[in-house]
Amino acid sequence: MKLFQLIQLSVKYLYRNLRRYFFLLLAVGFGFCIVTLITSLSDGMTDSVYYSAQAHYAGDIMIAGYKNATGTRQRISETNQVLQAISAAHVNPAHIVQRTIFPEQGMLFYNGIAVRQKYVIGVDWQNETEYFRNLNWDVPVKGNLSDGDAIISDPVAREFKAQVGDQITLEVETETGQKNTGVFIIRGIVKDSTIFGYYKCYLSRAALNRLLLFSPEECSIIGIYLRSRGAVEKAELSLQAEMEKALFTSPLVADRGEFRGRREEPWQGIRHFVLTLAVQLSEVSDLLRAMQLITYFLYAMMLLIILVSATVTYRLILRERTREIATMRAIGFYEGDIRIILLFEVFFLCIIAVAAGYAAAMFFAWLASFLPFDWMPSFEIFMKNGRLEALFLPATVLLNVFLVLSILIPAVWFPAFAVSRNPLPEMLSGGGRV
Amino acid sequence: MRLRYGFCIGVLLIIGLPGIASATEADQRLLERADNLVSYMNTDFSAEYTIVQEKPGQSRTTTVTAIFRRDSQEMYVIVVLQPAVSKGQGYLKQGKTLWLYDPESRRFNSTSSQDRFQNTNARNSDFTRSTLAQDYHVITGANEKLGRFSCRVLTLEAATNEVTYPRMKIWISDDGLVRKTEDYSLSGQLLRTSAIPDYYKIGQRYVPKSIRFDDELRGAVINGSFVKERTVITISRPSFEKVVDSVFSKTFLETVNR
Repeated sequence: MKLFQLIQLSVKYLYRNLRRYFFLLLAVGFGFCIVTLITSLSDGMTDSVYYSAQAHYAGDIMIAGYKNATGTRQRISETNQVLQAISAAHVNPAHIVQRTIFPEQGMLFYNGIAVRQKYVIGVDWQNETEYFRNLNWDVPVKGNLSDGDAIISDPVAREFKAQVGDQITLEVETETGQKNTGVFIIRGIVKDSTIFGYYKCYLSRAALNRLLLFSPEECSIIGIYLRSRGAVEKAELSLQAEMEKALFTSPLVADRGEFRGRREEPWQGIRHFVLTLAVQLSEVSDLLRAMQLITYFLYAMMLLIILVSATVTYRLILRERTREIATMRAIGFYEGDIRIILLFEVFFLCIIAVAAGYAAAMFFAWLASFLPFDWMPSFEIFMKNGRLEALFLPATVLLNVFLVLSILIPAVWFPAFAVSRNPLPEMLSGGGRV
Repeated sequence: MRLRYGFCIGVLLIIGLPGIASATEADQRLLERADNLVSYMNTDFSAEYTIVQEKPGQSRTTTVTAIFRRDSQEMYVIVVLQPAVSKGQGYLKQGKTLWLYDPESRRFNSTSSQDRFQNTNARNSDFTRSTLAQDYHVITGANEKLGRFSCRVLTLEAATNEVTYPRMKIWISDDGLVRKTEDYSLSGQLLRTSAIPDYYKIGQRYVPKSIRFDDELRGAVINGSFVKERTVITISRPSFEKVVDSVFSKTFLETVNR
């Protein structure tokens, strides 16, 4: 009951001293805003990399088949056995996709202009409806897609000066190097300027299989979307175990360097690899690590600024309120009561500051999404649909609140403790330690 | 009535089949002859190739190369002499391996015979000896007039799956020389047309004077009509003198322009 009354009093005193607390409110609010902005942008950028990679590599975990002699070419012939292994692994997938990929050498022609494609991807249109719905479209697809349709990227369309409805020719090479060509109609143009999508086109898997002389059941990779990113490690291990039982499968690899090393080993037939996004993204992990280091540095600096400014400001406030505190003591408040009142004042101040800081962070993050980053090479990888996107993860925001509070409470506790213990006559004359 | 039809078909088959078979065999021999006329198994061959690349709407680019061939060992060496920017680049073919030497980095990289030569419409495989009879089966043959030449037109299909163009049409004139080829993709799309209007005759051997490659897919639309990308190779100073062995080596390419 007494505690409740003390809390009520602290709210009252906070309201009365709001002008005194204003600078502290501003300092904590600004500090929390910056900290939240840094972490949310960092989380958003990491998520964008993961999102782009997940879309490009078709899932959180993928199984790829490689024929040694064909370098970067992938082929899975025993598709059913791989699907059975996935089922036996009980990874509870959200979605499974099969894709045929022709890397590096696909050439698109339109009106005599030739543009080499980094990736020609054969997809099952019906099975990947959700994926295509989430793409950032320049000209979206209307109606259902068929075997003779193609989706090209915006840079390629611009180079061709082509539009939806135009006819393009795709030239590919079979595994043995024979030329094959197919004619397709452009049905959609996607905006994807990340490193995964600049020169990329999508066809139906059946059509690409025919061009590459694959059988209709074959594919290059089988991608598995999991329900939670946290389940990747466990799923990877159980998939690996089931794949090893069913088919010729390479040991797990930790990064792309090890992956390359394994692919340079001699083998006969098709060797399967269970690959996670962490492996696929290991080459951009240096970039992510650098980004995280900068984030941590800025984060630490900001927390230090909050600590210093809160300490200095609070001591000044207490100095101004010495007589008021002395009067409270004189009318019968215990030292402990005064400390509780002072701490709750700061606690409520902190809640207001955090709420204001959070709102400000959201506003600045929204403003940041309009900033152009074209001038920064390779920065597109951190952007979603061409814009910087902040991600306010509840866990990160709560951690930030906890950190700000854990810095602020000691910063106010010691002065509050000191001021409450000063001799009363000294305090009444405006003196005493703070 | 049915018996009569059956008899007629039988007679036609008996008379016609050997005729078709012998025509195909004769055409296959014609193909072998065409190969032999431009393959130099008993001697080395060297010449200067001037390669002019015409991209519609752009300026012409000219590449001058020296080529040394030893067909008996499936080897060739090509050294780029012009333009200055590519000078010293070289190709060394040893059996099925093709090396590309870059004088800037002083490194050899393996490349494919199927790749475009110096970004022209010629392919690296166009500089080696002709092996049409090995690589292709004759499917059909017909007589046709090609300008001033009376030609046998052969439709070819790849005998192995390792050739770049799975289907070809080839025009061979009465003298056994290839005058025109059309290269098709597996799906039957025409990809490239080449023409060899004239040959040098040196002893019993023939050397093309010029080869023209028209790319059927690359080009530009100019004034509403499609103009193809084109490469013309002009061959000069052909020689069948023996080439020293050291030429067919990586060391030669490394030292030739020092």
